[in-house]
Amino acid sequence: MTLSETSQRTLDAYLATLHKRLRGMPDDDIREIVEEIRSHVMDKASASGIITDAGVTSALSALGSPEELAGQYMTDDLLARAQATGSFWLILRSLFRWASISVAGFFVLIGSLICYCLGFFLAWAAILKPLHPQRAGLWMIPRPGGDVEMSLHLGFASPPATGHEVLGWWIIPIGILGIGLFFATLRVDQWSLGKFRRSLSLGGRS
Amino acid sequence: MTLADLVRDSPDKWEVQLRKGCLELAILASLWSGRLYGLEILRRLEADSELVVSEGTVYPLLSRLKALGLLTSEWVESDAGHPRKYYALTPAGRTRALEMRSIWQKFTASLDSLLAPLNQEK
Amino acid sequence: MNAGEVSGPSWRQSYWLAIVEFAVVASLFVADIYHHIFFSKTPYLFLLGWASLRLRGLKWKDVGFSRPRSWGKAILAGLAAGAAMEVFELFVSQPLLTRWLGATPDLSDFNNLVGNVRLLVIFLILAWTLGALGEELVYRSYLMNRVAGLFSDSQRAWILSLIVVSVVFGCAHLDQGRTGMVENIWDGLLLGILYLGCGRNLAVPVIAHAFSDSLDFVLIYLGKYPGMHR
Repeated sequence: MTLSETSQRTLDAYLATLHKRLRGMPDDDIREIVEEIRSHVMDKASASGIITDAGVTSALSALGSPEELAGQYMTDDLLARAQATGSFWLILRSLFRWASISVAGFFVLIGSLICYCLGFFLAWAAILKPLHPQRAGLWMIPRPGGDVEMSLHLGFASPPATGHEVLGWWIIPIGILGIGLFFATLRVDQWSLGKFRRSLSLGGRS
Repeated sequence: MTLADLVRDSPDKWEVQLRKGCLELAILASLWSGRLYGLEILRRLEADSELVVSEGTVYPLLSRLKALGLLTSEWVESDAGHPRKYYALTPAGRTRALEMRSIWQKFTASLDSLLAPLNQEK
Repeated sequence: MNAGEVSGPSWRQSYWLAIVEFAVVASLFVADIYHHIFFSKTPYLFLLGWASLRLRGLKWKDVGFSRPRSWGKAILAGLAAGAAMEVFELFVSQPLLTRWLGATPDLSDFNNLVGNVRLLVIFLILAWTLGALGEELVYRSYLMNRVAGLFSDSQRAWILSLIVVSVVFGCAHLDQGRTGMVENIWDGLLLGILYLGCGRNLAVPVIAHAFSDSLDFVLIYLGKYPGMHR
């Protein structure tokens, strides 16, 4: 079966966009998806063995835009890989994707980011404390106007002129707990992304 | 999609959501007797159950079901000139289909009993 | 779909528990720095280790507190190792470290020992019990096994554990100044190697540790310890 020139170009353009939007997935998977969609369009567009231009156009519009189609494939692939590998980077990307889809996802993302940052910086302050004993730690710095600023210093700059460091060496066990917080958040995110993924295959938006 | 959305939107949109919810079961069931390729699955769903769902939903769902280990796929050369991707149920897929079938039956049975008074109206 | 949780709940418990345990260990060290701990943190660490083993269904004998294959060999090896460690420390490492770090180890806690027989006896008893046995139980039996267990007891895990616990052991002796700390890191490495080399049995490290400490105390008593003359 052969396509007319215009149909060939339309189809190729569609598949090229689809291919581009699927980047991030394994190459073999992208190739299979593109081939499957091509095969589908060729079959759908042919009535009694002849492919018509109208058939191709209507088949493509029935599929929806290539961006949306790619989006549906990408979300599940991302979630599956995040769950399987437990990789921090994949989990973070999955959280961002979830946040773009639902409000619940947005709150999970914000909460997770806060926990990751807190855990990470507490751990670093603890690690750097032996190197910068006078400067690393949790500082309470009085500000003009009566406020007190609370900030976590890693110790690289010179110590603040006013204010004092509150935790002393206790930052070290607290930093260890910070590491625990980081990994606990990672586990919680893995679990909730798993629930989100299951909810998708029951027909939710993706 | 929250409960508020479901209540607020028109009955048509609710129907679409309902169809979407059954799609996984419908696909697994359509593959029970043998392997099919994507377009065949779509036609079977349309013909046997009036379940018209957009192709943009079905193909990613097939991919998802395969990633979950419920389906396998193979490319088969066709006389139409291009290869086609056939799907078949795995043992896990068959088990899942049976599970979903019994959940479905329990659900519709209890919903039917709830809907009994409405059957008085015509 | 829980593909990642093959090892099951016991692994999980071990992972979170370990983080909490390490935080408690660090807290004990910090409390010691701020002088909240009377005399020695070893007993507290021992209690923590005992609780940790209980929680994981282990006994001290599972982590090395058991009969060596041959007492005779163990005693000989322990004494020989202890003597070797002592000689190396007195004639090689301590002079070098003193030159590099600019200070002798701070043994001011033991000033009263010079010429005091009664204190010598007390310290010798303490060395063999709290010092050697206590510290070996805590650092080699408990902590080394705990750290290695986090990474599934692989060979690299044990090497990491040896290094980490030796550094922690060094930090436990911060009251001996910077030089003292480095010396103890070195001792920790040697004792850890003895522990691992003897099939993770505590007999040889305990004897070596106790003997070398005893030699130290006797030398201090005699006023002949470098940097601590009358």
